[in-house]
Amino acid sequence: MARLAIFTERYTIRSSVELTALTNFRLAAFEQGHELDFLFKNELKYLRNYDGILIRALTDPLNTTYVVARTAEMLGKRVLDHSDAILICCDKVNMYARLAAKGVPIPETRSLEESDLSAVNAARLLEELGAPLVLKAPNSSFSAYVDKVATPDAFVKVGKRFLRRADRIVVQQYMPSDFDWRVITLAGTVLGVVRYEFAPNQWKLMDRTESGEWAKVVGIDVADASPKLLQVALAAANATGESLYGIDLKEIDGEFYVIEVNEQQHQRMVHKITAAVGRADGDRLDGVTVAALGLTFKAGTDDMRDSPALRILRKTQQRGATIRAYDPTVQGDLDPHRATQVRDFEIAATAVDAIEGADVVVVLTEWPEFAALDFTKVREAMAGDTIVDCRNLLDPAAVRASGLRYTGIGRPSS
Amino acid sequence: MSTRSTPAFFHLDKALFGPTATIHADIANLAGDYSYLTTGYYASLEAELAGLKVLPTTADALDAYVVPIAMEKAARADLPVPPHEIVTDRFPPAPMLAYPINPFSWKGELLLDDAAVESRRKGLTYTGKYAVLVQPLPHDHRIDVLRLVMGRSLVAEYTGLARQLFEVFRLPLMRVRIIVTPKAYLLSAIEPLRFDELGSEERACLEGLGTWRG
Repeated sequence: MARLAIFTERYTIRSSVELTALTNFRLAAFEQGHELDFLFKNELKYLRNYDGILIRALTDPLNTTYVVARTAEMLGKRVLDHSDAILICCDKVNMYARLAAKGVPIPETRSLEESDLSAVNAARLLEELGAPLVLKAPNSSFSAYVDKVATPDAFVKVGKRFLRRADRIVVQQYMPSDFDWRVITLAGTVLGVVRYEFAPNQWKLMDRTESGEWAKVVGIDVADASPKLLQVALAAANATGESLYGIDLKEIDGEFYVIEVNEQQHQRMVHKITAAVGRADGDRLDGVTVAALGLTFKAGTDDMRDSPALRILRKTQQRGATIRAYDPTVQGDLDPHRATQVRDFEIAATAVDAIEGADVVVVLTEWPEFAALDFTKVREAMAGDTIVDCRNLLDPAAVRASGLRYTGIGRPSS
Repeated sequence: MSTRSTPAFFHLDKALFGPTATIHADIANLAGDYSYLTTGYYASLEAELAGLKVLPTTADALDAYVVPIAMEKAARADLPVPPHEIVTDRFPPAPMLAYPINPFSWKGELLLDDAAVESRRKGLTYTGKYAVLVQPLPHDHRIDVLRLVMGRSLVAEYTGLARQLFEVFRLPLMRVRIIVTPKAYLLSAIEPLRFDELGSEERACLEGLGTWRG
C-alpha cells in the first residue's frame, strides 16, 4: 500500500470535468488499497509524508508545480511530472531542439532572438519555410501566444510582442489540417489516442467560431490507430524526459509531425527490471540483486553527472533492490565527488564479479566490452536468467543462444 | 535551430579549487543572469544541447533562483537556512522576508511589521492565487548581500561560505542574501549578478581562473 498525493490547484478543481477525473483517480487508488490525498500549495510541508506525487495543475518552472516536482525528487519520492520534463516541455525552444536532435519529425523550426528580428530576416524565413509561418512564444500554452504571420511586417510586429515574454521566439513552418492527433504516453506505452477536430475554419484547438463552436474531441481505440502515429509519438516522448505525456501531431499525406509535447520515462527501465525478476509492476524488490553494467552517461568517458544509469539504479534501489555495479572508469580510489555519486552501490572490480549470483543483469552504458561478454559464462554465473539491455548494445541472438532471456528497448523480448 | 552569437563564455583550463575540486565543467557561462527564458539561460541551454558540460546548467539556474528549491538543496548539503514556509494566506508574524513563487515577479520583499504584511499580502500572492515563501526573521539579525565570482568573495569573512555556496549551486556569478544572526549565517536567497555589474577587482579575480572564448 502506498501513500499517494495529487498536487492540484483551485483553478483545476473548479472544472467539473477535472474534478470528476481526480475523484475517479482517487477511487481507483482506494480500490487498489492505496491512500490518496489532495495536496494544495500551502500544504507542501507535508510532501515528505507521501511515497508518490502526481501533479495535476499547470506546470511551469516558475510555478509551485516545479517546486513540488524538484522537492519530491530531492526527497527521493516518485513524481509525475518529473522536473526535467517540465523544464524541457514548457520551453518550446528547448523542446523542439531535443526532438530535432533525436530525429523526431517536426515542422521546419527556427529560433530567433531580438537581434535577429528584422523585416529582412522575416522575408528570408517566409521565402525559405513558406508563408504563412507560425510564431510561438517559448512558454505559450493552450495555444495562446501562437500566431500565424504571412508578411514580414506582421512577423516583426508579432515577434516583438512575443519577445516581451521571453528572449527567444520560435518560428515554424505552417502545416494546415482539419484535425490534430493527441497521443497519451506513459513509460513507453501508449495509453490513449484522441482526434481533435477543429471548429470550422479554425486552426487551433482553443479557437471557436463566432457562433461559439469549439473543437470536437474524439477518442480512438489504440488498436485502430496508425502504428506510424504511435511510433513517432513514442519517439517524441523518449526525446524529452520522464513523464506522462500528451503528444500532439499533424498528419500530412500519411506522414506524422510532432507539433507539441505536453509533459504530464527511466521509470520504464525500472518496470523492465521489475518484470525481469518475475515481480509485478510496483512490487518491492527486496532481496533482489541487480548487476549493473555501466555507470557513466556514455561510453568513452568517466562522467557520471546526469547519467541515466545512476537515476535508474537509484529508483531500483528505492524499491529495495541491492545494486552491484561495474564500470571500467569507476575503479580504485575515487575522488570524493565521484565516491558520493556511487556510495549507495557495491562496486565490483570486473563485470564477471558484478554478475556473480545476480538476479538480473542490466546494461546501462554502451561500453564495447559488455557486448563481448561470454554469455554462456554469464548464464552460469548469475542466479536469474534475464538481461535488460537499456542501450540496445547486445546482439539479442547471441544472448538468447546462451539460454538467457533478453529485454531491450523497443525490441521484441524473449 | 539557427546558430547565434555566443555570449561571454569562459573556458576553464585550471582546476578551480586545487586537487579536491568538486566542480567539473568545460565552460562557464558568465552572463550572470540565468533567469528562465532570458539570454543568459539560453546560452547555458545551447551549451547543454551541444553536449558541453556548462556552469550553470539550466536546471542549476532554476534550483538556485527558485527560493523553496534552493532552501531544500542547501539544507541537504548542510548549509544553514532560516526557518521558512510556503503560504498563500496565513502569514507568520513580522518581520519576515517574502519571496513570490510565480512567473511574473521574483523580487523578495522585506516586511518589517504587521502593517506591511497586511498591505502586501494580496499583492504578493495575487489575491491568494500564487504562493509565497516566507522566512520569519529573528529580532537580532542583519542582512548581508554577497557578490560571488566563481565561488570567491572579496570579503574575507565569507571565503568559506562563498566556496560552499558555489559547490552546491554552481552559478559562476551570484548575488546572495544572507541572514546573519549571532549564531549562524543563513542562506536567504540567490539572485542574478550580471557580468556588467562586476568591478575591476572582481574581473581580475576571474582573469586568474581561465581563458576567454569567442
